[in-house]
This record gives sequence, C-alpha cells and structure tokens, in this order.
Amino acid sequence: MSIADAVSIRLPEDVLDGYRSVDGIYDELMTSGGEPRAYWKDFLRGLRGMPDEEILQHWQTALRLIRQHGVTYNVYGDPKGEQRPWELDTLPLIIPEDEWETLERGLAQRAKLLNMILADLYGPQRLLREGLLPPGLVFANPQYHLACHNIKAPFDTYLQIYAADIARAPDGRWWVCNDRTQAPSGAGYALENRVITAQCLSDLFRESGVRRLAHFFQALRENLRRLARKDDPRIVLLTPGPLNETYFEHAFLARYLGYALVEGADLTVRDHKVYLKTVGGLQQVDVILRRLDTEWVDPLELRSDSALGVPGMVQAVRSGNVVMANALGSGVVETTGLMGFLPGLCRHLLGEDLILPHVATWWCGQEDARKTVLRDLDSMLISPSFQQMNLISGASGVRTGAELDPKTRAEVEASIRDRGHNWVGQEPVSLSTAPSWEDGRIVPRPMALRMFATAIGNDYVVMPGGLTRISDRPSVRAVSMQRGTGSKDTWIPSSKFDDRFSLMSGTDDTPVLRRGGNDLPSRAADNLFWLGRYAERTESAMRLLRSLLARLAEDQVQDEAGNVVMQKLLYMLARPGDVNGLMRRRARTLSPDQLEHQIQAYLFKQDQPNGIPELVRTVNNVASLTRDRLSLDAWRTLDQLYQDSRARRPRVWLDIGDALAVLNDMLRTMSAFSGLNMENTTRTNAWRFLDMGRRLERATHMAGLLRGLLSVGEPERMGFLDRLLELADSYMTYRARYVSSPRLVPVLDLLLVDETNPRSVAFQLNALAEHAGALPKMSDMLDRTVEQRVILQCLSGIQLADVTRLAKTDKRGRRVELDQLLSGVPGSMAELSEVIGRHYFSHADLGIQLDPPMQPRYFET
Amino acid sequence: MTRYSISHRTDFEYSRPVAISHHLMHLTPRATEFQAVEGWSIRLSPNSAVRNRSRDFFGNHVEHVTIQDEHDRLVVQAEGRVEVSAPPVPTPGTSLRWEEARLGASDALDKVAADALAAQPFAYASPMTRCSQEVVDWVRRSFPEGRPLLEGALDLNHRIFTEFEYDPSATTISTPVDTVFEMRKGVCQDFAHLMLAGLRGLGLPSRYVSGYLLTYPPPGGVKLQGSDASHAWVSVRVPDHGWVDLDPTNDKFTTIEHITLAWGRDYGDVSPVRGAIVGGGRHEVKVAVDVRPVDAPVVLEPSAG
Repeated sequence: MSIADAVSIRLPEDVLDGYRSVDGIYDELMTSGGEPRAYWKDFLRGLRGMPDEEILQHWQTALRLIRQHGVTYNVYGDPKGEQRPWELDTLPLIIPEDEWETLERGLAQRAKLLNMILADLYGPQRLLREGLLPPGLVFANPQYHLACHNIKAPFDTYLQIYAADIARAPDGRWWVCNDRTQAPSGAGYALENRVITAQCLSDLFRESGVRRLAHFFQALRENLRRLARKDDPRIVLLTPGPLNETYFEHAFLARYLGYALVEGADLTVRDHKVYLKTVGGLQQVDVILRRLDTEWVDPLELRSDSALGVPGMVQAVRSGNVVMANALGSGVVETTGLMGFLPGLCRHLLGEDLILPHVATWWCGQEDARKTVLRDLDSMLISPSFQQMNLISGASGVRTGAELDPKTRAEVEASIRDRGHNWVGQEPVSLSTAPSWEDGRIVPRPMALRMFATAIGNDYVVMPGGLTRISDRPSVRAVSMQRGTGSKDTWIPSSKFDDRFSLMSGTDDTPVLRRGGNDLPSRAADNLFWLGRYAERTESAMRLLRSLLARLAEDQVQDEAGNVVMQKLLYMLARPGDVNGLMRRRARTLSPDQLEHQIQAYLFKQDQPNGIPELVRTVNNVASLTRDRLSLDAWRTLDQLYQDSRARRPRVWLDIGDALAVLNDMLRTMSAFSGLNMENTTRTNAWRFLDMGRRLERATHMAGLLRGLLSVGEPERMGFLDRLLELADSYMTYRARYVSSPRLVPVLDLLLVDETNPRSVAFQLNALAEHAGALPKMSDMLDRTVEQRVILQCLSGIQLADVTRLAKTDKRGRRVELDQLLSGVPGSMAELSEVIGRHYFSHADLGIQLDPPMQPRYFET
Repeated sequence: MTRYSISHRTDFEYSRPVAISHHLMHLTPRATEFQAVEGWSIRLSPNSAVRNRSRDFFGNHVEHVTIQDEHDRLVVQAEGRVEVSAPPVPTPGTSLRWEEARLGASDALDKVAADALAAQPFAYASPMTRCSQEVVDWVRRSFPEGRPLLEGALDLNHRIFTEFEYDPSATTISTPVDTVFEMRKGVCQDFAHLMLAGLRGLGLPSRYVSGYLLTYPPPGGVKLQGSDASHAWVSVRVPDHGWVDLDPTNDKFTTIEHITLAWGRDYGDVSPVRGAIVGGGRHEVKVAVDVRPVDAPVVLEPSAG
C-alpha cells in the first residue's frame, strides 16, 4: 500500500469485516470457528478503538519513517542495482508467551546442537568416524572448507549468530524450514521493523507489554567482546559492499552496535594479524562480525577470484590473532540434507530429544531415502542439497517433480540415481496465514518467521521476536523477499517485567567519549575525496553550461567576441584542465544552431563525454560507495539528481528557456548538497577529505578559467570579465564593491587573491592549508607535512603577487607573469592530490592474485 | 631406486613496487611409501619475509610467506634431494570391478572404514573439477559393466592421451574442464582435472598429484638448465590396495621418474606458489625446474681386518 492508497482508502465498519481463515490452513488470528484467538483480543480492542483517520495516520507515519531511515534492500541481478524501499506491514504478528517459550528453548537447543556439529566437523570429526553423520554431507558440500579444518574457535563457539526460518503447520505446530549459519541476515531488519512499528502503534505497543529486542543485541555485543579476550577490543563488521542485497542492514547494525563497517579492501594482514587501514595508520582488529560468506574471505586460501576478501586472513584466524563470527566454514550445516540426522545427533550429543521438528526431509545420499524420493518424486519438493541460497530469500525455485517439465524431470531423476548426495526431497507443506493490511482491509496472508539466536557463554539467547515475512500471494510455499513480499514486526507480549532500554541510548554501559577521527578507513577517505572532486567538477560544468545557455538566449553569439567566449567555454567543458589547448584554440565562427546543438548534447546526451548525465552518474557512483558516511539528506539530494538525470531523455531538444530552467534546478540541487555538507557534517576527517577534494578541484578550475580567459588579449573588450564573474558566482560581490563595469585589476583581485571570496583561488588554498594542518600525522612526519609545503608554496606566490603588475601585457599582448603564476596552480594541485593519496589512501590499493603458469615444456621419453 | 637433485625456482617481477605480498607455497615434497626427501630448503629473496611452516588438510608441507617491505621482485628457490623407488606395477586385469570401488556418500555410516573415510574428500567434484554430464558420459565409456577398475582407468588414460592435443597455448590455470573437453586441448593439469572430474562423476575417489618429471633432451641435444617442469597426474584409489598413480599426459602408470610434491582435490589445493599482492601493476612470472639424477653414492665397504 502506498501513501496515495492510504489516503484514499475508506476502512470497513469493523477492521475484521470479511476476515476469514483459509480452509485447512492455520490462521494466526482466527480460529477455524471464526473467533479471534484469545491473545489477539487486547490488540484488536485497541485497534477498534482507533478512529479510521488514526489508522491511516499510522500507515503514513510508517511509510515516512521507512523513507527517512532509508531502509532498503538491493535486488540481486538487477542491472541497475536498484534499491527497493523496505515493505513493512505495521500490523504485527503476535505469538503468545507460552508458545514462544517452547520456540525459544527449541531454537537455543538447535543452535547449540549445530555448534557442536561444527566444532566436531572442523575438529576431531568423531561424528564421521563413528558413523553418526554421512561423510558425503560434509565432503561433497562446497561450504565445508578444508582450509578451515583444525582452526579452533575461542570457547568452542563456532556459531555466534544463528537464524532459522520457521512456519506453522495446519495442526498448529511450528516446524523449521531451514537453518542459517553462514552469516544470517535479518536481525537488523527485525530491529528496524520494531523501531517503526513501535512508533506507529505506540499506545498499543506500550499496553501490550511486548518483550524488547535490545537485550538480544546487548548479548551479541557482550559475546563478541568476550571473544576478543581483551579490554576495549576493536570489532568490525565485514560487508561485501553496497551492492549486497542487505547492505542497508550491515550499515544499520554497524551503527547500532558501534562497530566500524568495513569492506575487505579496508583490512590488511601483517604478521598474521589483521589491521584496519585508516587515515591515522594501521589499527589492529580483534573480532570480525562477518557478513561475507566464507569462500570470499581470503583469496589466498579460499576462492582465489575473490576481490572482496583479505589475503592472509585465514592464516591470521588460524594464528588466533583475530576471531571470526561466525567462524569460517560455518555454512556447512546449512544444508537441508542434514535435517534428517539432527534428532539422532541431538540425542547423541546433548542427550535430549530435539524440541523443534523440521519439514520431513530425505537426503538422497542414502539409499533408502533415495528410493523414497524416486518413488514419490512427483509429490515431493526437490532441491539441490548444497545450493547457495540468497541471503534473505527462501527456496523460491523449489518445485515438486510433477511441476518440472518432462526433460528437466528426467535429468533430475537420472542425477538423483547417479549422484544422489546432491539432492534433497522434502514434503510440501503449507504455511499458516497472518493478518495483513491490503487495500485498506485486513486479509490473511501466508507467512514465515525468521528467528535469531546468539551465543552467550555455552548457551544461546534467542531474540524475543523476529522477522515475520508475508507473501502478497494468497498461497505460496516459501516466502521470498525478492518476490515483492513484505515483512512485519513480531510481538511477544509478556506478563513479566521487561526493563526497557536500547543500545542507541547507551544506558547499558558508560559510554566512552569519542571524537570521530583517526578511525576513518583509508578507502572511505579516498572515496570522499573523489566525491568532493566530482561534485565540484559537476557544479563547474553546470555553471559553464548555464553561462553558455544564457548567452544563447540573449542572442549574443553573432559578434566575434561573443562567439569566442562561447567556444572557449565549450572547450573547457570538453577538455577540462587543458588550458594550453584552450589558448591555442582558434576561433572559428559557429552558427547559433551548431552552438545550441553542442550545448544541449552536454546537458542531456547520456553518453556525452564530460556531459552532465555522465558527471552526475559518476558522482552518484562515488557517493554510493561511501553512502554510510553521508547524511541521509545529502545522499537523497544526489540520488534525486541522478534519478532525474536518468529519466530526462528528451526526444527533441528543449527550447533554451526550458533547458535553462532544468539547469537552474540542477545547480540548486548541487548547491543544496554542498550546503548540507557544510552545515550538517561534523568536522571529522571524513568531512575534511570531502572538502579537500572540492577545494582542490575548485582551485584547479578557477586557475584554469582565469588563465584561459585572461592571460592574453583584451579581456575587457571581449566581455570575458562578465563571464568570469558570472561563472565564479561573484557578480554581486563585484557590483557591491565597484560601480564601474568589470575591469581587469579588480576582477583579478577578487577571483585570484581575495581570501575572503569563497570562490577565489586563494580562498581554496587557505582552506586546503587548514585541512592539511588538521589531518592525522604519520609518526615519521616532520612538523610541516609535505601537503602543507605544497599548498603554502602555491599560496604564497599568489599572496605576494602584485595584481596591477599581473594585469600588464608585454608587446605581444601577453601577461607572462599572470600566465606563469596560474599555470603553477594545476600542477601543485595534482601534486597535492598525489601526496594525499600516497599518505592517506595508499593502503587502499586493491590486491591481485598471482598463480604461476604451469605449462611444462615436455619431451616424450 | 634413484636419487634426484631438484631445483624449482620461481621469479616474480613487478612493473611497480609491491607494498605487501602473501604467498602460500606447496614447494616441499612429501615423504611417501616410495619416496624419501633429504636436505630440502626454500630460500627467498628478499629474505625479510614472515614465514610459517605447517601441514595442510592432506598432510602436505605448506608454507605461508608474507613479504611486508616494498619490493619489485621476488625469487623463490626451492631445492633438495629426493630418493624415489619404483612403485609396484599392478596388474590391471586382476583389479576389482570398478563398481565395487565406488564410494557412496553414506558408506561410512554403517561400515566405518578409516580408509574409506580418508578417501571421502576425493570422491566429489571440487572447485576445479566441476563438469557437465557430457564429460562423465564420455568417461563412462571406459567403464563398461564389470570391467576391472584399473583396466578402465588405463583405458581412460589412453583415450585422453590419444584424443587430446598437448597445447600450452590453449588453456590457462582457470580454464574449466568443460572447455578443455570441448577443445580437446590442454596441458597436464587440464588432463588431470578432466580425468578426475570423470572418475569422481562415476563415484571413484581420485586425487590430483602435483610433482616433477625427469625429462630427456631431444636425441642429440643437450639438456638445458631449467628445462624441466612441474607436472601433474592422477591417483586412483584401489580399495584394499592403495592409491595407484596414472599419468594421462604420457599414457602410463607413473614411474621412478615421477617425483611427488603434494596431493589434493585439484590444482587449487596444491598450487606450488599461490600469491596475492597489493600494488605491483603488471607482473611477470618465470618458473625454472631442474631434475637431475644423482649418481648413486659410492658405498665404502669397511675393509676387513
């Protein structure tokens, strides 16, 4: 339901009007007799007590919060890398306390059991030697990583976070559909759902005495801290990056738990220890909360084609210098083929019966099971034993034998006979239904619940709640996020006192005061620096184009001077930075039509080199790499610009007035982005690198403009000075100071030397000098850094310049001194960029893999 | 029994300085029933590396090497002596039927044989031996019902040798088995991977062996320094007998001229020098291997009296 829907819909007389459970299916709200279940009654009473407008209001609040928080998930395989807003249904799922208690014990038991199996498989392998677990389930399983064998996990805890999807059978019993042990996702989304739902239904939430989620995350944090076995350990969350399906959650959890969010390229291994590469140097990492699947973690010992991992990581873990949570290789027990063996293993390892049943499962690696599956192929759900499931998706592609086309069915059948260990057959099951909002009514929709557990000591704590996922189709077997299904909060009302606190408010322990700074990863600094540069470059290009369009609109292109300006500006657009080329460029009269055609190409043609669409795309790309460091507003501003630019593909060129309007809009957006960075960003190193990029680019651009337009000829006569003031956004300042029409000396003063004009070259250099002085210093640096020396050298030349002298021409009409002074600026800026790169970003180099060729020359003997 | 002096040198050259490089080396031959290793060493230049020696899952010698100072070249020089005795040549016709040699995924469940469990890692497709059903079907032609295992394996060995062309320019380290099969071209590790893919597809445990092979100069020529090479072949598990090595590149059982370095599921498990570097621009790798028989030591009988 969208905002528009929410406003236009009229609710029925009673919220439950027409709500009927589906025959033969368990409904979470209603008994088969059509009565609401007892534990829903308080909630329903509260809901009925709300006026319609209030309910709609809640909806709108939820939608607004989702946008405000930027809750998204990425859709894999979407070429545009599109982010979908999170679909949240504010009606929670309620599970009664007594029922929950069994689920809680069942999940903790299962986590404990799977952990013991992991400990054995990566250690003594007794289960295999004693014949309790078929070795094929392990050795044919690509998630069993031989490189991780004999790596001991601290406290024998291999599984730090565990999740399981559970569903309810028609008889009301809960069963487990699958286990998630690799790097379970969803806990962050569950928390986000809670935050939003609790805000929307605040009264109902309070009155229901719902158990809080914060304890779970506190346990997780406590657990990870314990793993480090030292005080004040550095813990990071390792993500595959912004393209990952659940990247939002990685960033959200990292912030909530207070860990640095890092990618593989942010880490390096030295002396078998893992370090975070920051602008303040290398900082040792003690614990890694891993959201990257094992195989990608280390190109040296695991998948050699992984660009997401860290060379040497496995050896660092093996040496005990860093702890992985979950342990490397933990994905091996995710296989559904294991399920049938769990009851026996539970009795053997824990001496207890398995509490939670699972879907009836036959692993075809065993002869009896294989025969059963082959016999009942048509009615069974058939799936590969070791398929890698997408992080949050269910087994969406699973079908019964009868549903397969004849050719595939024959192939599957042959494969089961021949290599049975690769296949699992499962009994199809139906999901229960939960009440969901749809078109202003409450209707029953199929659901599954993802539960979470985290280790604490030798036991597991279960999140009191979870991620309930619903399907928008009346009947499905498994629920998949990627198929446009939604989610909801899960409420466990409790009669017991549940003290309320959140990690966000930090009441659980005394917060250590921190000022953001040296922890900034080099890669993030690098991206921010380039974001600053590209944003400025884009803004300059927009200003150039606006000036060009304005000339065209005023029809000032017919005379020679006007035409020359236009061509110079166009050249600057086409070859930014190539001032020499600009000065050599001969004026050749272009017709207004030719000029306009070129200008519009820069404005709207998607593949125009250095055109606005290309620049905006680049800005968006760089920004998305560093999204978690931008304010939401700043990100949204850029994203809007990008979306607009993508959508804008006029079939015929706009008329000049409309094009100008579009351009003015874009410039306003860019200015808003700069403004947000100036006003809403704390002066951390992150901000400094962003601003340095911008200043450096602006100094280069401005020096180029001045040199290109002023170092030869008669700029006053040609009208160059007006253009310069306009491009530098300094017309008003000039008018305020001088009554005359623009003259060379005062313009030079204003745009080159005046340190109070935020567009002048000197202003940029001053700002750069200030930044350079405030950056973290490497231990081996002298008092004044190389950065500072480069900047000051450039700045002092400008500060010492006599503007009147600079304006003088020689006999051939050249301003040699001005030319020399200005030509030094781009060089200095390029040097500065390189020095900054070497000092602060060089760790960010990507690794590459080597394998010597092994192609022997061979002589037949 | 023959003693060999072996030298295996790998030169990495980088167009730009490398800030840090990590290597994983399988460069020390393992001792086997038919092979003894003496005085083996690995020297590095630059030699400032952080080094760590251990055994991998398969019992191979493995060394982790990290060079943390900026460098633009790396030389890895492994050398030593290996004494090889000839493995007994089995009689293929009398080996057990191939069907009986298959290893099921659940076999260890009721009859837990240590030997069967040890063969388990080699019974399934590994990252570099995944293949299409087509490859398995092609391999199956060597294994008609009831054929003795080694007869089938030798036939497969021969078919690869005759139907595939040895062509170092056709493939790279990462060429998939299916492509090799399609092109009918490749080098020793491609042939080994193809053979392994098919054998495992039939349920026959088999492993990838990395090693060296003594080579001879062309008739009338002189053996050149560094002209030998790393080599790779296949080892098939024969229940109640042990592992039998076959060399599909040369259409024979391995001989006293094959020196074993390490074994695993495929090349990826035992790559002699695997590396990951930071920086470095373009890189060039040169490998030079020398295998020379050492004259049998003169045994001095203690003089009587």
